[in-house]
Amino acid sequence: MKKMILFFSVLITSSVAQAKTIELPADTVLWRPSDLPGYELTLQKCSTCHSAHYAEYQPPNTGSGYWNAQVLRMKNVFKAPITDEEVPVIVDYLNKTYGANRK
Amino acid sequence: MNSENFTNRRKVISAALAGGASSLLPAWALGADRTNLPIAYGERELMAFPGKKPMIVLTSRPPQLETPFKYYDNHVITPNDEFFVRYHMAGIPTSIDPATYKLTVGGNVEKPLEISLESLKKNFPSQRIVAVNQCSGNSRGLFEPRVNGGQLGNGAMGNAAWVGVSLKDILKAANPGKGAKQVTFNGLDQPVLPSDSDFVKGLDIDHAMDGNVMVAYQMNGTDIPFLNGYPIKLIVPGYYGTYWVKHLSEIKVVDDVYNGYWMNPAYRIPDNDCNCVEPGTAPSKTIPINQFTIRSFITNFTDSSIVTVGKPIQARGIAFDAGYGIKKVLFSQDNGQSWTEARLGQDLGRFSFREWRTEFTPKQKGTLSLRVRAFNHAGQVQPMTATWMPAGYMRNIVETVKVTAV
Repeated sequence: MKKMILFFSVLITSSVAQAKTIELPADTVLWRPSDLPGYELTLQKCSTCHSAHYAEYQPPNTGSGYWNAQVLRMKNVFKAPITDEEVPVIVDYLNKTYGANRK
Repeated sequence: MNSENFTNRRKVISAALAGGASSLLPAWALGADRTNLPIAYGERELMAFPGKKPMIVLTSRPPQLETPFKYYDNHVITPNDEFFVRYHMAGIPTSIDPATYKLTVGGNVEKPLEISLESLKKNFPSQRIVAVNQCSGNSRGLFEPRVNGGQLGNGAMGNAAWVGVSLKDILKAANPGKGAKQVTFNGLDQPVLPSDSDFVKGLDIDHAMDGNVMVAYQMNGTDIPFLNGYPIKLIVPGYYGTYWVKHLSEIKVVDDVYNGYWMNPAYRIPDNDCNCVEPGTAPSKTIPINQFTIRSFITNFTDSSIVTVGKPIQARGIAFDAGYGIKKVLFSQDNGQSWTEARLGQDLGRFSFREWRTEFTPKQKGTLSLRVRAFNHAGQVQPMTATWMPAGYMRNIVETVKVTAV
């Protein structure tokens, strides 16, 4: 039995030793701070799944239609825990902070 | 046009801070390299992710990394640490044990399989294909009018030598049953929150059995980099990268057309001859994106290059298509008024980048619009003006680099 345990522990050790592991960097681009109520909601709801790059780099012709479609996509397809009431609040923050209105 | 964007520029951080960009630059990022794509909101960070040189960060979570364009002038085979990265969802594996890794083959098959990495390498014949992988949205940021989505320059493409097993041999071992219509592919990456939007792609059974589609376990003579799909990745030569499933773990033979989120409505193109629509409009009918359009690039000049009138100089670059084979590449120094045929480099296979070179003598002072246009054996040719679609896929306009002749 002792031999068995030893055997298995060697097996486990060797297989762990073989595993390839990576460490990913922390988010670099952060959500643009704002006094709008959608800012805190965005930090809570959107950051769970992705970094702020997705909003940061959208082009200057981006309007509320795009943000609305994306927030609904996150809610409906990827099950982001966003209520119907929260959708326009987040869209308002995104629309006034990124795309056409980015400073 | 295609290159100036990727010029390395080390920005003075204090200047960026003074410009109101403090929220973009956390303290640890001080000293990080930055670069600019030639588009509005084109500022980008350059960061080294695991197994990678500093790359243009499209998104950090999940990792989406673009190859700085100047790298394409160095090699016709893209080194593993320069190869672009594209994930869809942040539920990505960060530790993989090759000793316990399994690929399952199931669905409508007579003999479901569970294949270890060792078995894949030992019990199936191996094959090698040099093939370009290119993101569907490569160059999306250059669309005019601009379209939403990942704002990429021209660096979401790469060319590698893939070694692995033909998918045909794996499917034959499992023996698909009658009525098999498509094959689906799933990898270890998954949505962060539970949903039915896992990244799964489908190919027609005939395509899956064509002998070219393969399960690769090697890239350029070594393990596939973690962020490119270690330890095995689906290789679909001539098809956009969306089908090249990373960390491949599950193959299923199905009797219907697979219609999961990432096949429909995602990754669709207009169903017409040009796969395009009038700018600003939506297509009435769509199909899944499929084969690459034909493209070519000048790699040794950027918009800030200076050449000398009367002094011969070499122009060079790469061309590729969906696998029909590059027939010829034409080069122009006068914005397409006159063309000369370039020499083609070594043929590494019909799915590979093909190098081209030519010499030209700058004729007059001022801006010279260098252009390059590829033709293939199927009669396909790059368009002189860009086509448009709302998703921003398949860009393949004849590229222009504006150098200054003195």
